[in-house]
Parts: sequence; C-alpha cells; structure tokens
Amino acid sequence: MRILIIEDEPELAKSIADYLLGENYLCEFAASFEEAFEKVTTYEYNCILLDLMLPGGDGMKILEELKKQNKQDGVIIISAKNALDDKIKGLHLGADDYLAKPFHLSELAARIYSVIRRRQFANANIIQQNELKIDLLAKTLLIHNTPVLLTKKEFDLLLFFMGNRNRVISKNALAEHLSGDLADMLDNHDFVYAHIKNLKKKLTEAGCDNYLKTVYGTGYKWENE
Amino acid sequence: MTLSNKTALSFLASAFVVAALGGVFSHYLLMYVFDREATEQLKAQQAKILREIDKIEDSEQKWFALADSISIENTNFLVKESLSDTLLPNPLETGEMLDYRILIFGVKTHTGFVKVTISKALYETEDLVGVILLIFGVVLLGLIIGLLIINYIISNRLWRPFYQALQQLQSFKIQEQKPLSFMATTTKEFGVLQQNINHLTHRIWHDYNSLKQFTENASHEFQTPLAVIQSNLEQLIQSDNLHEKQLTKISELIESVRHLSKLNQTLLLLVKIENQQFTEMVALNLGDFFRQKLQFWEVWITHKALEISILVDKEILLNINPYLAEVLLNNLLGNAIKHNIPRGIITIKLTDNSLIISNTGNEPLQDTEKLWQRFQKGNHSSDSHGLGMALIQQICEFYGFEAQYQYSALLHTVKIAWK
Repeated sequence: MRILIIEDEPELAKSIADYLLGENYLCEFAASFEEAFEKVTTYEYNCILLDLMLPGGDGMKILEELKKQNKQDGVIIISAKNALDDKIKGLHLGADDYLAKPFHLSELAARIYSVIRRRQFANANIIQQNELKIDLLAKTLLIHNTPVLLTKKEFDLLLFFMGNRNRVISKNALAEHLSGDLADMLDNHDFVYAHIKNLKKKLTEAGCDNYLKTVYGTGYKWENE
Repeated sequence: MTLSNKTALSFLASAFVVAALGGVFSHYLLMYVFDREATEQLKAQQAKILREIDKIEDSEQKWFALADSISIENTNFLVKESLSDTLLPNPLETGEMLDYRILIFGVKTHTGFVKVTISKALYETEDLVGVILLIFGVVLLGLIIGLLIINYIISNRLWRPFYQALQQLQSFKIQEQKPLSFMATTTKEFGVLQQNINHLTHRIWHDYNSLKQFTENASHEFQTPLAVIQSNLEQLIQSDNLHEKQLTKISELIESVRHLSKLNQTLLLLVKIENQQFTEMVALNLGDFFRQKLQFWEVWITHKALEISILVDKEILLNINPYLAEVLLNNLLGNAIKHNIPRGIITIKLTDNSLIISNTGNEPLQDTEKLWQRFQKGNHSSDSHGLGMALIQQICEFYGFEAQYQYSALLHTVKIAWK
C-alpha cells in the first residue's frame, strides 16, 4: 500500500510514517505544494494525507487537480484549521475524510484503513483473522463461523482495533473515537472501560482467543502475531 | 430630536427672548415719548394762554371756562406752577376713571391773580402704545414663521447628504464588505465626512479581516506543535521497554495535550462568535433537531441509565446558525448528562418562546452566579474545561436570548428564552 504524506511539518510526517510502518504501508513524503503536486499527478497512491496549509500553495488545489484528472486515490485531509467551511469544501471536492489537528495516530490509522478498504472494492468486504471473520458490508462478526451479535459501538470499536493491530491505543483516543466531539464533555474513561469490557466478554464467550490486551495505565492493544 | 427641529427650537427661543426684550423696551420708550409729548402739549397751551390772557376782555372769560380742558379761577395770590397725574371720571362713560395730566399755574393779569388749570386725558397715548405693540408683535410673528419655513426647506435640502450618510452608516454590517455609496455633494464638510467614513469603514474591514486571519492562523500555529507533541507521545507508548509507571506518565501527558487542544479550540470558537463569524442562519425546527441529535448521546444516556423525556408544546422554527445550535445543544445536554446522578432524569421542554432543560444532580459547589464565567467549574472533574457555560452564554448573547440557571429541589434547570 502506497501512502503519500503531504505535510510541511517534518516531525509530524515522520511520526505518522513511523506509526504506519508496521501495517505494510509504504510511506512517501511531500513537504511543499510543488512537490506534492508533482507526486500526485505522476504516481498513484492508495491514500493521500493532505495538509491544507502548505508552503507554496493551498492544499485544496491539489484536491481539485485530482478530481480534474479523475484519479481514484483516497484522500484524507489533515488540517489545523478546524473550520467548517474547509471541511465541507474538502469533502465536496472528493476528499474521503477530514481530520482536524491534533489527532490521535490511532484514529488516523483507522481512517486510512477504512479509506483503503472502501477504495479497493474487490475482497475488501471481509476481514479475516484466524477464527474471526468480519463482514464490512453486512456489519456482522463471525467467530468459528458462528454469528456474534455486537452493538453498533462494539462493532465500531472492533474495526478501530483492526486498523491499529499490534499497537497501543490510548484510552483517550478510544474515547474520542467513540464519542467524537462530545468526548471532552464527559467522564469518558469509565465509558470506554464499559464498552471494552462488553466487547471482550462477547468475544470470549464465543470462543475467541484473547487478542485484546490491557496495557496498564495507558490503554489497550489488539495483538495479532 | 432631529437637527432641523433643534435649530428651529433654538431659533424660536432666541426670537422669543428678543421679542420680549424688544417689546418691553419699545413699550417703555413709547410711553416715555408720549408722556413727554403730553406734557409738552400742556406747556404749549400754557404758553399760548400766557400770551393771550392779558388781551382777553372780562366778558370773554367764559369762553375759556367752556372749554373742557381749561378752567380759570380768580385768586388772591400767584399760584405756584405744578404738574400732576390724576384719575378723573370718563365724561363718555360713567363709572370709568381715566388718567389725566393736569397743569396748574398762576398768572398775574391786569385784573389780578388767576389760577389756570389745563387737563389732558392720557388714554389716547395708552391706546396708541397698545396698537403699536400689536403691530410689532404681528410683524415679528410673521417673520418667525417665515424664517422657520425657510429654515426647514434649507436644512432638508442642505443636510440631505448628511442624512444619507447617516442612513448608510446605520445599515453598515461588518461581515458584508460592500463599500458604502454616498450622494454627490458640493458642501465641503459633508465631502470630508463622507471621505472619512469611507476611510474608517475600510480600516474597520481591514482590521476585522486581519483579526479573523490572526485567529485562524493562531489556531494553526498552536495545533501543529500540539499535533507533533501528541503524535510523538503516541509513538512513544508503542515502545516495548517502558515500565508501567512511565507509560502512565506518558498517558497523562497525552491527556494534557488533548485538554490544551480542546481549550484552544473552544477559546477560538468563543472569539469567532464574538467576531460574528457565524452569520449563516436557517429556520431550524428545534424539536426535530433535538430528536436527531439525541441519537449521538444515546450511548451516554444508556451508559448512565438516565431517563430522558422531551416535551414539545408546539413545533417551532428558530432562526439560528446550525453549527451554533449544535454547540449550544451539545453543551446543554453534555452538562445535563455529566452532572447527573446515575439513574437520574433529564427533561427537555420546548415551548413557544423558550427551551428548558432540567436534570437531577448534586447541589452545586459554588455560587450559581459564577457559573456563567469562563473557567468556572461546577465540579472538579478533569474532563471539564470550564468553558461550557461561557459558550452557552456567548451564543445566547449573540442571538439576544436570555439564559438563566436555577437550582432547587435537587433539580438543575437551564432556561433559554428568545423573542
């Protein structure tokens, strides 16, 4: 999987690339508008992470160019301007997603995972890991070929872990994933704990191995050797 | 009071003062002149009598006596001359008294001493003064009315560019940056005024735009380093060789960075509302909007096992920016859920002109008046940034709504009233 990180802050670009390294992603970088424009028009990527404020130009122009050339690359806008107008305009111009800075790397990874899955329609609807089988279209989970009934939030959590396999996810990232903008208003650790506990219980009862580990003091990790 | 009314009024006031002073002055002047005139007439008659009296024969003395205003008496001594005013009955109308001036003097004739009395009625003088003052008044009144009309016409014509400029200023909106158009004028002052207003509005727009730009840039400049810190911290917790204690510390750091970032975003939102950057408005059906947004909160509501009820008296449409409506609702509901007790109750009541959200909860720790201020926390939960109530109030202020908070009988109630 080829991913282009268009971001002028090298530290941020590098830590994104480091985080994504495990998931057989191949990351490339573009730190300016010209560089990004050239790469985008020359090569094809499975996913492009696009910062809007770039030295040398507006990131929106790159999006317009992609649309003009009818390119099928997935695009996630990562912008520090959490402005509603930009979000609407970006999505209208064909971006798949919009993530405001600062974001959790786990959230970004989950979104990239989802965008790539959506773009590759062939064999992308089923995620299989040993006894686990997730049907993305039907939104169902099979364990040892027996359906397991999950709530919407639990299914959502499971997919989030799929997009962040073998990585530690902070409780905060999970809370924000579960409740979006509302997360900061509530006592969310308790909330996350309750949902994880329910998911874990359902998986164990269906005879699933214990992949979901608690990392003390930090969060959770889905292990998949 | 309009400008033309004000000038007309001060004009009238000064005219009255002048008229009053002028009236009094001319009254006294006329009185003085007529007074002197009356005396002079008497003196003239006296001179004539003195000249003629010696030539008159005795038998002809009666002729003098017949004249009403002159009487002659014989005396034994020379009467001293005196001039006096007195009241005498009106010969034409009985019962009425009139002012008379009387000159008495003595004459030594060849027959002996004679006392002559000449009297002259003063009523003619008073009538004359009255008539003259009346004419004076009428002329003055006519002059005032004429001047007022001229003043009105002139100020309407002359001041038109001024009123037009005023109107332009009144309709001035900082968000709509279209230049003001003024009518052409040959008056120098108005030209300067228009020029200055133009200059000022451009200056205001420029400052407003740069402030807007600054707010957004500030957000960008803050969020990028925060993003770097956060992603590096998250990268750090992936390491295998960290102790639990270190991991806990890093987690706390991640939480703090998130907190800082949310704080920054919320402060920015407050500034944006203050800067009136949310001008787009739609007529929102509040009942539908609430039911729709409640879905997002459902997990939290079930998580805390809360009982929620929505009472809608009437389906109402409120003109509001949809994003601000969402922020308002999220903060209201967020508070109602966060400060609720397990298995508590939330009631949302929507009436024609108000929204009332009440929830069960523990007694507030501090003065409820302070709740609306920034960085005031009702309790000390770490998730709270203390800006929720300030945001609610800012949005209410922006739309001219009235927000009230009340705690009684274990129930927290926030009422937002519009109209």
